[in-house]
Order: sequence, then structure tokens, then C-alpha cells
Amino acid sequence: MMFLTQRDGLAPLGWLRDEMDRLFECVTPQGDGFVAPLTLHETESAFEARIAVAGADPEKLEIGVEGNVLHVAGEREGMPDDAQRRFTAERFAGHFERALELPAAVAADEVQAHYRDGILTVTLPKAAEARPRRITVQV
Amino acid sequence: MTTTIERRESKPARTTANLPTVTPRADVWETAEAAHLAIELPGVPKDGLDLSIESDRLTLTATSKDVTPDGRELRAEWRPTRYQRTFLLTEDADKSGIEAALRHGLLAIRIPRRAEKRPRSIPVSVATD
Repeated sequence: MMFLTQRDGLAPLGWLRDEMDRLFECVTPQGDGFVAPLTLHETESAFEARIAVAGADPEKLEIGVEGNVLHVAGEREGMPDDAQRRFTAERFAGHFERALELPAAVAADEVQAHYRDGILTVTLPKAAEARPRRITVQV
Repeated sequence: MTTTIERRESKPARTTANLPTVTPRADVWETAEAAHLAIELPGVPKDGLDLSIESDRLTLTATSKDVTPDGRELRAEWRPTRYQRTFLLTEDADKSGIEAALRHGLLAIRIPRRAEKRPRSIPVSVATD
């Protein structure tokens, strides 16, 4: 009897929670709340993105380029199941993803990625039409 | 001579001293045998990490490697950082058995519990007639 009463009492809260979930989904489309911080540099011929994903499993890192958008996704392990007492839980675990729109077209076939010390470096050469060209003046 | 000094001063010196110091994110948990710490240190190579124990304090200091690429900076959501954090150890900790491993920017520390402090199950002998 007590159990049923509790369930009924919580029903409106359940509705509110679903609404909140939906709201946060709109604000943070990145999955479990981890927005991998990145830096982006541009030279005449390429972009270089460096994404800080400390602890991400290199086997599960996924990098894709679609048009001029770079997509990065991966997984990070959290505390193990046998953790009996959890004192501090500040890290984000689970699936994460991030998309970055680049200001110019890139050559998707020539994109290179390198993972070291928890930093994923992605080099994206610009598409030929996006590189600065020198125009010879005909005399 | 004056010119040299001016030049040196006008160049932003990227030394450890003037990097911002931040507290790295960590998970801390216990099992029956040990306490575990998982600390995020993105960009920190093995030689940029210093772990020390003084009395009951375990202190880590780490510096991420500055590999700022060439070109124009369009976005900078993180920068080379100096990390520092101190953890207090209780008397249960076996300081001589601490292990640490740095992998993919995540520092894993295992602090074993002193054998006499571990929970023990006491075997119960059943009396038979």
C-alpha cells in the first residue's frame, strides 16, 4: 500500500524530470554532458584542431569529416563496478561527441589524426579551392 | 644591449612559472584492498609529472607540454596548463606500496590499504558432535 502511494505521489515529478531531460538535450547535444574542449589553428594550407579527451580509449575514437564539419566521438571509462565507496566523482564517463564547423572546405581524403597524452590532434588540409592562390599578371 | 633586453621582454615567455594553475578533475574510490584515484591531465607527458608524498599528503604537480601549432588561432577552449592537487592519506594507507601509471592523459594511482586494516572475514568452524 505504501509503495503504491509513493509511486502516485512521484508521478508529477516524473513528468517534470522528462521535461528537464528534453530541455537539456536541446542545450547539450554532446551526450553525457562532456564537451571536449578544443583549439583550432589555421595556416594558409590547413586547419589543425586539438581536442582534449584525457582518458579516452584510442581504439574507440571516431573521426569523420562531412563537408566542412569535423566530427569526433569516443568513449571514456568511469569508475569500475567494484568501487565500494565513491568519494569524488568529477570526471565525465561514457560516450562523448563533438562537431566543429570549419570556416572553409577541407580535403576529406587527406585528413590525419594523432593521439598523444590525451590530446587528439587532427590536421585538415584545405580543399584546393579554399587555398589562397597567386594570380600571375599577364603583361 | 638595451635592444636585446627590450626584445626579450616583449616576447611572451611561456615558462612553467606563468602558466595558469588549475585543479585537475578526479575520481576517487575505494575497494576492500585499496584506494584508487583517476586524475585527468590532458597534454601532460610522463616527464611533466611530479608526484610526491610528504607526511600524510600526496601531492601532484604536472605541466602540459606546449605544442601550440603554427598559424592563426581561431579557437582556444583550453591552453597549456599547470596542474596541482593534494590528497590527504589516512593511516590505513600503505605509502610504500603506491603505484601510479599515466596513460592517454589519465593518471591512475593505486594506494593499497595496510594489510591489518583490510576487512577480514573470520572463518567459522562448525562444531560437530
